Amino acid sequence: MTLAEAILELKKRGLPVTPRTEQALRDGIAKYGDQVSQDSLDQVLKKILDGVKSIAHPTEEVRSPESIAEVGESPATVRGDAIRTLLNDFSSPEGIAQSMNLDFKIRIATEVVQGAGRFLMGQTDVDEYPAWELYRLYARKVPRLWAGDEGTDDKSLMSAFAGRWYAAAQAAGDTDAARILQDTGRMIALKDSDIWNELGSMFDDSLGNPYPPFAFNSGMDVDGVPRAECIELGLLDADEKPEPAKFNIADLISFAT
Amino acid sequence: MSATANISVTQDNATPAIARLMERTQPARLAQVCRQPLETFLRVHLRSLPTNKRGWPSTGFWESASRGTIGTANDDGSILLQVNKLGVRQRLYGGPILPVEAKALAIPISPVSYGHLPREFPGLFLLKTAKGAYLVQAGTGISEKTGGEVKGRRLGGNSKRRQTAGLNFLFKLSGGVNQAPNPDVLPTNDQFQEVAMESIQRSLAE
Repeated sequence: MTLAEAILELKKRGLPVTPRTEQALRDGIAKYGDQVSQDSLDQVLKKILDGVKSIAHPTEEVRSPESIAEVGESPATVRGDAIRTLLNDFSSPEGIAQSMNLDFKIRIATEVVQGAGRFLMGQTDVDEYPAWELYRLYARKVPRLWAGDEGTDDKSLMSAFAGRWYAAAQAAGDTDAARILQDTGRMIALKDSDIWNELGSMFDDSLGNPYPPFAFNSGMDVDGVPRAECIELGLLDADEKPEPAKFNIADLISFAT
Repeated sequence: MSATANISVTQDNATPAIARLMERTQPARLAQVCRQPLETFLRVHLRSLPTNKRGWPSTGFWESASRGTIGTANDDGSILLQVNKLGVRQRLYGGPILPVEAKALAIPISPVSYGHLPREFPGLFLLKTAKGAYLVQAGTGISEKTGGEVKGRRLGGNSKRRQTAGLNFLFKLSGGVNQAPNPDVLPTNDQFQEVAMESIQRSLAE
C-alpha cells in the first residue's frame, strides 16, 4: 500500500494521526520505501503503541553510561537533564527549602542544640539531681515503644522487653535502670550511666546524642531526680557522691545527617 | 540569793548540724535546688497552653517554646528562666503588629494557609472586595477524563470545596493588628514560688 493508504489504515485502527504524527510516521515508514507492507505497518504501529504504553506506565530502568550512549542518549544529555532539574528545584528559596527539606532539618537542629544546652546545665547540679527520668513531655499520634506497656504484669513486661529502654539498659549494662522500670514502671538512670548514650545511638532513627531529643520528632524528655529519691530507689548509697556524665564537648552535638 | 547554772558541753553535735544546715541554705545551693524543678514547671506549663482557637492544624508553637526553655542557676541565688522562642513575648504582653518589609500583613484565613507564608502558594493573586483585600488562589480539581489537574472545577461537598472551589481565599491583607496581652502565657509568681518552696523544703528534709 502507499504511504497515504498506510496512514488511512492507521487512522482506521484508532490511532489519532496529527500532522506532527503523520510526519513522524513518514520518517519511520520511509525506511521501508514508498510501498509499505502490512507487516511493516504492523511493526510501526506496535512501536508507536509501545512508546505510548511506556509513557502511561513507566518502569524504572537503571542503565549504565555505555547503554545510555547506545540508545542515542549521551551522558552529556543525562547530565544536562539533571542540571535542568536541579535548577528548577533551586530556582527559588521555596524550591530549595522543599527540595532539601530544610524546614525539617532546621527544626531538628534547633531542638538538638537546645537539648545540648540543658544537658550541660544538668551536669552542674549532679549533687542535687544525680539522675534523670525519661518521660513523655509532648504527645504524639504514634509514639515510639519506649517502655512497652505501662503495666508490670508478665504480658506487659514481655512487651516492655521490646522497648527501647530495656534494650538500651542491656546494651549499657545498667541493671539498675532495667530493675527500676520493672519495679516502678519509671525510666530512671544516673546521669553518668551509659544508657543515655545508647538511647541516642543504637536505633535507626537515633540522632547520635546522649540527651533528648534522642530521635527525630520524639516527644520524650528528661527531668532531674532528687538525691533522696535516688537513694530510695537504690541508685546511690547514702554517702555516695554522684558523678556527672562523661562526654567530649567537641562531639556533643550530632544531627545524624 | 541567786542561782546559776553551769552547763558543760561534753559533745558538740549542734555546731556541725548548724554548719551543715547553713551550708545547705546558702543562696547558691538553693538556686541549684530550685533550677531544675522551675525549668520543668515552666516547660510543662508552656506545653499545656491551648493551640489555636479555630481548631486548625497546630503549628507546634508552644511545644517549640517549651523546648526552647532553659533555666540557669546563679551564685547570688537567683535563677534565670529563658524561653527562646520568637513570638512568646508578643503573646504575653500584646501590642501592635505592623508590616515592616511588606506593605501589608498577610493574615491566614484558611486551615490550608495557617502557619504558612504567601510565597509558599504558587499562583496567588490579589482580590479586592467590599470586605477587604485578599490573596486568593485559583481552585483546582481533577479531570474525570484525563485524571490530571484542571482549574476552576467544582467537585461539590463542603470538605472538598475548601480545596477545590473556584477560588481559595488564603490570606487577608491588613495594615496592622493590635494583639491583646495574654497573662496566662507564663505561670504566676505565686505558682513559681510554690514550686521553689517545695523543692527547698524537700532538699532541707534530706
